[in-house]
Amino acid sequence: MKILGIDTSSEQVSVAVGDDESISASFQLASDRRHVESLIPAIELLLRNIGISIHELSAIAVDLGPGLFTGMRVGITTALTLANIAELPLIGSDSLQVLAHGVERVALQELDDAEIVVPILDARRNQVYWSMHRIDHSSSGALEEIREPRVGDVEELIEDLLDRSQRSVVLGTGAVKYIESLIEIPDLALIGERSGVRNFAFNAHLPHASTLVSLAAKKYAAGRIEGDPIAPIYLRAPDAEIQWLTR
Amino acid sequence: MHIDNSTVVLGIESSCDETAAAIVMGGNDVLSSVVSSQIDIHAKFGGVVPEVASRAHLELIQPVINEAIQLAGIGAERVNAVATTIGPGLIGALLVGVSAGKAMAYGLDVPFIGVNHLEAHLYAALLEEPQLPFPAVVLLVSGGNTLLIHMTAPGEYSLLGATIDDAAGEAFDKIARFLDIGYPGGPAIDAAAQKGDPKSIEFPRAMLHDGLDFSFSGLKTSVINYVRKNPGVSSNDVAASFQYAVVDVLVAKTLKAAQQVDAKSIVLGGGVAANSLLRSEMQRVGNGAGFHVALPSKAMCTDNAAMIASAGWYRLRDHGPSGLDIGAIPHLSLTGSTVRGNRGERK
Ligand SMILES: [Zn+2]
Repeated sequence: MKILGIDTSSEQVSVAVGDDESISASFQLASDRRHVESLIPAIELLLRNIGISIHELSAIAVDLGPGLFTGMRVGITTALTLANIAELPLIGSDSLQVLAHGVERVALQELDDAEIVVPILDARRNQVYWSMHRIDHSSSGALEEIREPRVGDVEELIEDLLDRSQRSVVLGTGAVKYIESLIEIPDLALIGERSGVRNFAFNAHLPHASTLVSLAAKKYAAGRIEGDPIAPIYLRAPDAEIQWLTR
Repeated sequence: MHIDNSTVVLGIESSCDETAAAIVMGGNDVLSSVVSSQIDIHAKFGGVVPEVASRAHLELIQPVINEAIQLAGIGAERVNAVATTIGPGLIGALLVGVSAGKAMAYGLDVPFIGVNHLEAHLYAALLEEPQLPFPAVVLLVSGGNTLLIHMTAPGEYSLLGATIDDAAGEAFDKIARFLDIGYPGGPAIDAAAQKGDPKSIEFPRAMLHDGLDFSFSGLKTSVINYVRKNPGVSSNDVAASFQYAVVDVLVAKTLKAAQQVDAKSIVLGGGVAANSLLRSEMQRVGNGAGFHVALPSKAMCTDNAAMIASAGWYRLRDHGPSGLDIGAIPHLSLTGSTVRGNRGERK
């Protein structure tokens, strides 16, 4: 099994190839939003390095957002097109799920006494995207989604966390941006804070294609890939639609 | 790579509110041309909304490409190169087409060609009339542009004049919205004008005698002022008189340009070139002065991907492919040179 993962839902371009056991190759470009310029060259370099063509892949995994609209569209259009040409199945994941599962790579020990993982991405305009995942300590830190991705003001997120009052680990660009307000919440930690680890092998606050590949590989291995809708998760209507509806 | 009459180019266009794909062989043999218009999606907003357009492009791009390949009666593996609009246009909209185009080229292992949308409009007439006599003066009129171009051969052109403010199509849209007669503005004004008297109101012909540049913002203002002062006026008469003033200036300046550069042909292009009065007047005045007048079909005047594939074929033959690291360039100008990307530069 070889799955190509494409994640351009944040300002970086992240690509990886791997299966349910391991990642063969991956890299990130802090692309400064040059997604369309970098993505195909990145895929080309990645596949050339491990010596396979797209026709030898088993599937393509793509991050569906929420995130940067333009970045998401570059990644999804590219994935749709490559999958169409090479007749490959497409496996989508939302960006918050990808972000949450990234903790397994960087800070498993930090999750020991935590109950939930809360990925938070900056959505600008004082808003954030977030979801919530329960940690199953009986099955070595597996995550189970208990709150679907949503968008809202930072205050709504804080209320959501206070209501739940569980020991939580937060991560993501939104968590970093609003940590001053979030840290007031009891039993909440930003990932990396407790262990003092600040420099992760990759940016733990952005979704990462290697996590996307691992998630997709599990679905692929379990045969759960048919009928996955491959459409962007915007969570927000275009401004013009909102103005038109509320005129 | 050898480029000849059997070279098949897939063209992709997504710069504004049309998602389009086409298969063209040898530069001008159109095997298929599919255009999916978003007019209905944007109508309620009275104009193209970039984020709405970008979302629609993403939904439409794959089906449109597949349909173009299917209608051409070929398999994707018969495609020898992929040409895609990289600018000018709405950035979010362009990104969808460029992503799809680059992925197609990479996946099929064929050259990618970044195409200037404005340059492609110049090829629309050639698609239907490959033996077009050169040199030609092209009047390119759309929602975003009003340009007079001197074209001495495919790929060889220089700018003679341009609008200093609003594009002609923009003026049509604004007046149609002001008169509340429908969207998009061009066809709405055209239809209303058929029922009105073009000589009923004397609107100004701006800069008619000063060189080859255009200005339409003064005309727009005087139409608005006139209607405010004469609230009972017939919208049809206003539309007809306004359209007559625009066409008058466009035709006069095009004729002047053609005489100035000693052209053999006058060519119309762009969305506004579908306007019926502009077509008939250009034909009448152009022929009267001894010029060959090329009026591409309305489908070729408005945005389509056949012209992108055609422009791509000429660019590939004369300049080689673009690099796969090329980006979208929303403000690309007609004479812009950055259509190759770093790795596509050739000696
Ligand atoms: Zn156009």
